[in-house]
Amino acid sequence: MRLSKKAVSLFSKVMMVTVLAAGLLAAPLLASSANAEVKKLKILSNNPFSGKAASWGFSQDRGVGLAVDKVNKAGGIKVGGVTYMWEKVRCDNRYIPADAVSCLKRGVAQGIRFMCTLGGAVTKPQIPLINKNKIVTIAAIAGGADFTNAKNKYLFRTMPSADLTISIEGIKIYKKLGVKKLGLLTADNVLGRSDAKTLKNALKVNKMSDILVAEEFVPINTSDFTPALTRILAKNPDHIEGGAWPAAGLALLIKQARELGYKGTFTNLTGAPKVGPLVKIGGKKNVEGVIMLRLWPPDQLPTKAFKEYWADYRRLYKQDPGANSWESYMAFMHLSAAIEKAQSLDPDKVVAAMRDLKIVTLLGELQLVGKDNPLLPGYGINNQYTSPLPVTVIKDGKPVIYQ
Amino acid sequence: MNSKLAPYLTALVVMAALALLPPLTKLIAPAQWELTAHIGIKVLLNVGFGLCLWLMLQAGELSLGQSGFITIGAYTTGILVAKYKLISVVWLGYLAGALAATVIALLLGYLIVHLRRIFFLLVTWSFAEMLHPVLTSFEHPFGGAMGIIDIPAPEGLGLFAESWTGYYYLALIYAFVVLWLIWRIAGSKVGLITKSIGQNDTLVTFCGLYVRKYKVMVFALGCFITGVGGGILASYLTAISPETFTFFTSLDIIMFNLIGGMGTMAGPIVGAVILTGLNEYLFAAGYWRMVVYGLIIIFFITLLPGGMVSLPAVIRKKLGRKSSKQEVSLG
Amino acid sequence: MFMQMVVTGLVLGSIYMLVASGLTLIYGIMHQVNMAHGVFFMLGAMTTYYATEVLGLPYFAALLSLVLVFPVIGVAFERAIFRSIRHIWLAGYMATVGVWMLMEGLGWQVFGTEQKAVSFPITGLVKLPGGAVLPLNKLWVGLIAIAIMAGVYYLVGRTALGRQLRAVEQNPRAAELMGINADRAMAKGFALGVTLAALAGGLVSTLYSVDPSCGSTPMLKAFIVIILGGLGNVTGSVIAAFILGFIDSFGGTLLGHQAGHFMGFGLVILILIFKPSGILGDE
Repeated sequence: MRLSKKAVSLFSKVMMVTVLAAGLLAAPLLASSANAEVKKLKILSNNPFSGKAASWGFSQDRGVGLAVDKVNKAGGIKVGGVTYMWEKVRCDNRYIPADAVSCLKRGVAQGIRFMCTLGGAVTKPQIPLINKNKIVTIAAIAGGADFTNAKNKYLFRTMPSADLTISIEGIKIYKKLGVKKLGLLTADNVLGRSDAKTLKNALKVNKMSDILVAEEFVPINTSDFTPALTRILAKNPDHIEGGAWPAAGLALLIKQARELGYKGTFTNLTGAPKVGPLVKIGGKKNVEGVIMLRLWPPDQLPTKAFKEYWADYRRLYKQDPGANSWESYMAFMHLSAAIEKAQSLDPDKVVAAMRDLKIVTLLGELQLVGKDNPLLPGYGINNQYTSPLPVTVIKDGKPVIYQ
Repeated sequence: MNSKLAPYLTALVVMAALALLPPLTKLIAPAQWELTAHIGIKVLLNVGFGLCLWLMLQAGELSLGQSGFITIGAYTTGILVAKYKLISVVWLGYLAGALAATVIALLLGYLIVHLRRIFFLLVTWSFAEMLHPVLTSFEHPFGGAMGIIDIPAPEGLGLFAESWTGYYYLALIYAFVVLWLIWRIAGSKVGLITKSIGQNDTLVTFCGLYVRKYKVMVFALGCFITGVGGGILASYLTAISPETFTFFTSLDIIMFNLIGGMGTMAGPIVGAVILTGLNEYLFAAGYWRMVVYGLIIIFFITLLPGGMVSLPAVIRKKLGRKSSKQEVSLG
Repeated sequence: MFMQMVVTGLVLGSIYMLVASGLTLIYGIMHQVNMAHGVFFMLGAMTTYYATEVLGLPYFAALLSLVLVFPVIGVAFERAIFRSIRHIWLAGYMATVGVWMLMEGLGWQVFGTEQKAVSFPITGLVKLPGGAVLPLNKLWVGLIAIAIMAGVYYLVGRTALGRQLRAVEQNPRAAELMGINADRAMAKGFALGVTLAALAGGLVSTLYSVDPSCGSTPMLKAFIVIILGGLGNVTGSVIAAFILGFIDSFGGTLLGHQAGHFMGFGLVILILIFKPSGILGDE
């Protein structure tokens, strides 16, 4: 191989650039070693802040943010004479599993030991890292024993699991409505797939398997459901379960089903979509009678603390809070109380303190369940938060508690 | 000193300097080591990805489908090593991933290299887009929407106390092997022919050379590099899904070249360092990240088309001195 | 079910036709693939939303306002960014990508993450033979799309502006020798394309929801359409739009959603490999 002088000079340029690269690599090291002395306790907010699931991400992030402010204002957490102030560190995972892992790696690299995250699809690949690095995680994830089991000691589910929503409340609602032919149209992701599995299981246990006449999975970013709905409507269902959709998806699904002449009812057992956009996009007439779980109607809030929370959220963000905002708020308050009770930042001690700690927060008493609970098969560990679970129906464009 | 050995010596010095980074960081600021490693690994892998386009750019074409080949490499590794455990040695998984990417690139390349410019760009992009529905639709072997999880680290990485160091050295070796490979090819007969094809392919045909063969070769080689990187990335991330590598991944790879300087070898390296660094800095910025990206693209396209590499020449020119050489080859 | 698939195919086809029209015009005149098309679609939808829901204008007045506003926006973008780099294909392509990302990112900051909706003034259903139903809003959107397309044909085929545009398309330098200001003609062509994108946004968004990335999926479809139709070939893209509409409808209904997506891009690759000039091309 012969090399010209020009090529040699080019190569040395390349090398210079590489040295530059080394310099850039070392830069964060020098820059951030300065503020190591501040007693701060960091929680990683590993959530989607852009993309289709951004509204869920912001909702959870804001809920945790309000809780962080509340704890800090009350003087922080005192552990063995040292006062710790919470600091929330955001990382945008765009609802992409690999980005979420990257965010967690980045968090671990910064020495963060607490995290909040959401979505089964992005949480599942994080589990090995969570267990290995003992990251105490509060996560808004559906599913059931596939996430919450004795192996995943550090993963706490803030929202009601599919065993609580679909298998218990869902079946109750179907029985009450007298559903004869059920069509399922849900998202083609981990959440949608695992919900479908839970639903089929629950129908089998209740000897109702024959009511499920159609199931369809379409991508989460779909806006035209007509082909999938045509398939489902060919089976003449009298009830459609729109599973894991955020508000816009569910609204378009309902609107387009009505436009195709569908007259039956709808439920949404897991998505907890916001009612405002749902009514606006779907049309007031179309979404009448849609039954949803986990949503509190703004004028039927159960406690004073919850009303204050609602007002705070509205004042700061000019919109109503979503379900995962208050669920993660409550879980975070529980976590903070547990750290204070354990008088340690050691993940194992904190987790042990969380297991049998009961606190009173927004919706009354909050505690962890799962162990030896016949309703939660296979959990075997107290890592599931429970609080009152509202069933809501849309009447006249407004949510009201369903009788 | 022998001018033939000079670049290799320089490379060795730089490599040694980068190799010293882990022990030095651990010594000076141990708390910052993992974050430094995380950024370093991403930068070094991206240097490899950025360089994969270099040969193709010499031939005058640009692929917007590299995310597809990263996906193929990563999925092949994941399926063989993690999902069905058909291969017990992760290194062989990487090799399989690279081979899969190469074979598919040879087949696709044979069909599409007669297309020029925007048509080549569009067809490679369509190919990458087409993978997505395939991956989500089949639970076996692709794992559906969930993708593949629990992809193990390669053997031998356990020699280091923690995986960060191992991955850092792996990425370092990857980046330098890719650089060496590209460098060797650039100076070889194939490299010269490729460059002539980019300048005037009709003339090359008149010289009795089969243009299509060289273009396919160059395309496949780029995809081989991408495939290996995909496998390493799969291990590092431990989980991959159909949404992991998207249009924006391919766009990033083009942007490394654009920011650094299209058609120069230093370009993709500089670009990868700058853009990856920026990306890691903006990790919490949400939608501002898009705004910054957009501004960067528009800035480099309209004001600095030669990329960062051309900056010294541009400054010299602005100062009124005669510029020695300009490395503008956009389009 | 068969009739329903035909109806859905026709509706989707006319939507794709409208969304692709601006894209194909800009390629035809400037030989530039406009990746910012989806952003102009989104801006059209957002403008319609703010005009109807915030300012309280009637829907059709809001649509008309797009025709007044967007030519100016189009000319501004052409002047500011695209004119100087038009002759370099990759620079042109990347610049449109830059505009896309910049505007979408700003869109999320300005308009917020809450999903919005524009309601179409006409509602109701028509029952068709064969058990199919056609919502009136979709029927009207389809009809207006066809009317706009007819307008485009008239503008390009029968007016002085159209003659200028066609002359510039064939040979910019020869057109300049004939006394046409090619720069201006191209700016007008770009403005026309942008306005068509905005109109598509204002119309199509009534069927779906509005957010700052709502242009991405339609743009993806429009790309498939213009490649199938042969880049820059208006009639080809009209036919390709309906082909894609039927692929999505029949493929999506009979084989599932992902199959339709796969077949669309598969067809694109086949066309590019074997007949890059598109279905109507004469190569």
